[in-house]
Amino acid sequence: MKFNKKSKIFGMFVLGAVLLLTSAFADIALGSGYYNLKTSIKTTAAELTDGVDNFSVDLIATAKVDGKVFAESISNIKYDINKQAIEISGTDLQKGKTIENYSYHDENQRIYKNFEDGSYSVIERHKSRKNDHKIIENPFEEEQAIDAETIMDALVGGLENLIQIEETDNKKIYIGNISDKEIPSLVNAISSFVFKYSLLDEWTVERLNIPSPKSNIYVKEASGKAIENEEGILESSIFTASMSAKDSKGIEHIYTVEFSIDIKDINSTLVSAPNLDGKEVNYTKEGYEFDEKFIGQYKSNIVEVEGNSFVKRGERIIEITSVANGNLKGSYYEVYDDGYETNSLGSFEFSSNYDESEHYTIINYRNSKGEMKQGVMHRSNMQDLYVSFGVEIDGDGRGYRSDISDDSFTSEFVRVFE
Amino acid sequence: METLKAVYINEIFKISKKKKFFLALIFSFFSVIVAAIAVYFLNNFAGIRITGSSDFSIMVLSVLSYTLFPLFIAFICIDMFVGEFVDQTIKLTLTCPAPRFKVFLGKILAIASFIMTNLFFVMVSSLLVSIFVSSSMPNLIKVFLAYIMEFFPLFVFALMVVLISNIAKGTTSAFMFTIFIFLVFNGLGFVFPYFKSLFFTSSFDWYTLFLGSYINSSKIIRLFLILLGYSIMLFTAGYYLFEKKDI
Amino acid sequence: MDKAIVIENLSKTYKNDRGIQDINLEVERGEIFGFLGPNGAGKSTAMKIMVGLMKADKGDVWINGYSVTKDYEQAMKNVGSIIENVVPFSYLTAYDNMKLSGRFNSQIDEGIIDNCLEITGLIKYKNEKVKNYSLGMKQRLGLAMAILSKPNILILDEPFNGLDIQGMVEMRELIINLSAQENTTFFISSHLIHDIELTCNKVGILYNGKLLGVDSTKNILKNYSSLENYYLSEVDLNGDS
Repeated sequence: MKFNKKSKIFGMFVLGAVLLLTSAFADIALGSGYYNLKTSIKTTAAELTDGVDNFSVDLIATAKVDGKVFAESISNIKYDINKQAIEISGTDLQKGKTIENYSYHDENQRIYKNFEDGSYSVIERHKSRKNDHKIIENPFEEEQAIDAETIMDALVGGLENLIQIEETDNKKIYIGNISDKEIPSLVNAISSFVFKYSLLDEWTVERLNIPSPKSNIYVKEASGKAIENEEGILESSIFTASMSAKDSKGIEHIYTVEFSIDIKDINSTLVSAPNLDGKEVNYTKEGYEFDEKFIGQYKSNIVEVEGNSFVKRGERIIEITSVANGNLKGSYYEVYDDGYETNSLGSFEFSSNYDESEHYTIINYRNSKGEMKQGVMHRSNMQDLYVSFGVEIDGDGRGYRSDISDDSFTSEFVRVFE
Repeated sequence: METLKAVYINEIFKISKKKKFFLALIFSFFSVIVAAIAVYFLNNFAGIRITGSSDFSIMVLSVLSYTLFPLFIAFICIDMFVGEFVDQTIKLTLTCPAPRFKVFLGKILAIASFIMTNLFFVMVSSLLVSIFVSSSMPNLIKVFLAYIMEFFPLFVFALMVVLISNIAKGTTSAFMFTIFIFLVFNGLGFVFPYFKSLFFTSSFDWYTLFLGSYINSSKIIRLFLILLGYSIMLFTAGYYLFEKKDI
Repeated sequence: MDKAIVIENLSKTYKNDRGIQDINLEVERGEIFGFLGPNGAGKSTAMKIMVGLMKADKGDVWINGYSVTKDYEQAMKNVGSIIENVVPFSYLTAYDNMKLSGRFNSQIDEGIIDNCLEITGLIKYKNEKVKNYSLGMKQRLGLAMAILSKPNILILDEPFNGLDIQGMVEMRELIINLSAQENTTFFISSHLIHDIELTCNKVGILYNGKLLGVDSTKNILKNYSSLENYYLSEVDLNGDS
């Protein structure tokens, strides 16, 4: 009897465990629409960045108030992964005005079209900038993406089941739809806050000439649809979200945004540079900050405070003597009033090598102690210079620090005209 | 049946005489009021409407499901098991002419009644308060369904606390252990969202499955079976330990 | 004769090797059985097993003909008990505590509860919360709860604990009266030899977990000048084997 009772308890426990595990694993195996969609997005990203040779994307983003479009952006982007070339053409609509744009990039050049006069700008690419990054990268391979995904999963939480899957003709269709009643309060509160204070702040509202959301703000509806083709690529997706809010007069308005992305012509897209024969074309070289017109003298005053007034003590002079293919040569010296002592930088010759940095012009010189030093030179205004001496370039080459802490040193050098 | 009824009424009677019971109701009511004030201020000063009319009750439910409800369930369950063992009052109950199974079942039924009472109380008070917070009529059926659904995961949670209360030697350790398990289950669901259906705490908001325009009934059935499996396991394990206990 | 309590081969060993071994005992209907033994002899262990608070390793107990392990509900139906010190629910009143016990018997109403509180001298404190009670008052309340459903067997572990002299006298009178008037069977444990001698008509000595001897008080007092002498000789004879 006693044994019997024990085995009954044990039997019940096992039954519970079996029920729990089978249901839980069935649930995990089936997954939710959300997880299926996520897998599909990852497959699409991986395929488009590594698996295919070329493809086109149609992107449309529309913003409406009460059903009336007030901003719209339509673009067609063609990618050629092998040639590392992109061609973008599109139109933007803002405040009733349509602006067209066109650009083409490949390894050697960038081409932009100026729609006002039909001319083209061609920029030859900087040597050191070639081949440094791909035209399109898989966002899911980046480290932040993994963390972002974890946070996203947690935020989506119970909503993951709102995405349903339908299958027709070898295509999977993901459909999601959420109304104001289903949106979690926290999501609603955050979205409404961002909407009012960040997306449509007073300034933006005035600029776009749309009613300002004042009160009773809430997420009205969000819906989405995505179609996955036989290869597992999401070939078409649409997303719509709308918010409701009352303006200062208490009139309710519906603000809607719509996005649609269509991926097409996989492996049959041709990306080629536009034919510039007979067109007006401006050629420039990327990264040539300085050219021959910068040859000349630049100066900066040495000023001190004495009593309660500024007193000029002397001048610092930079002379650029030659510019060829972005390479500068020149000299630096100081001129003082009599009897004045200062922390002089001395005088030296400097030169720059165009290929040394893709971010700015680095000048090399030997200071009064005979040490090799570096400086950075920028253009300032149209004709002036902005110069730092004794700099240390950061490891990634993007930033620098100057070790000169002399108050009388100003980086602005003004062009001297005879 | 008569014996089980006597045990059940005794346990209900004891819960109703506890300060914790009134504290649970008072704190629940306060949370409803605080939520209402927050909603009112956000709408009137920041212009953000947190809830539609019917959602006020749902919003309150979504907050309390992870806070006050589990907290007071833990208090009551710990009191009714390890608490009575520690202060030896359990002797009175166990020497009554009721076998241990009926004592255990009676206590579980009383806990279930407590959970229902608390849910019902919050539902009614939040519906009443929502009259002042929002203008339109709430969707009573959805609110009612959501509160009924929330009973199941909370009941599984209660069974877990009961099991812990039959393992732990003291009330404090039982409480700490409960909090630990609660956090671990929620944490695992957060870190491994793909496997979260394994953890019953992820069902604390499963009533949202009913709120949408599309109701995924097979998902609801799967989650229900998971909760049922948990209930059976936790009930039998808790009973096994309770039955075995020497005083 | 009708056997009220039968104990058969009852054994229970704790982790520290103490406990009870192979206890066999029969108590006839209407007897007042005294269970005598020093502290730690195993009296409480035996009585806890009798009322189901503990599980025996071996053996069983039959009360009113029903096995405690197999048919607990029937076995305990006509049993009232106090095991060690009485611990009522401190957040309830005496009356509410009584009602908890009363719900297991549909015939119990407020009159019967009041009557039991009257008998035990607690009627004045009926609606007072138990947390303010003294040890003796809690003991009296325990007794009131034990006799509430007019059980035909009362199992009382150290019922004199915490009682003052008057309380002890009253308790003794109550036991003798119930036995005489209602033919109630008593199973009383105590380490107070004097109380057992005055109250019980049958005595069993428990020493180191073993039952040494069972005899009627009358027989014992025929051969020994007092129960104390009998106890000492029994312990001398069998105790340290």
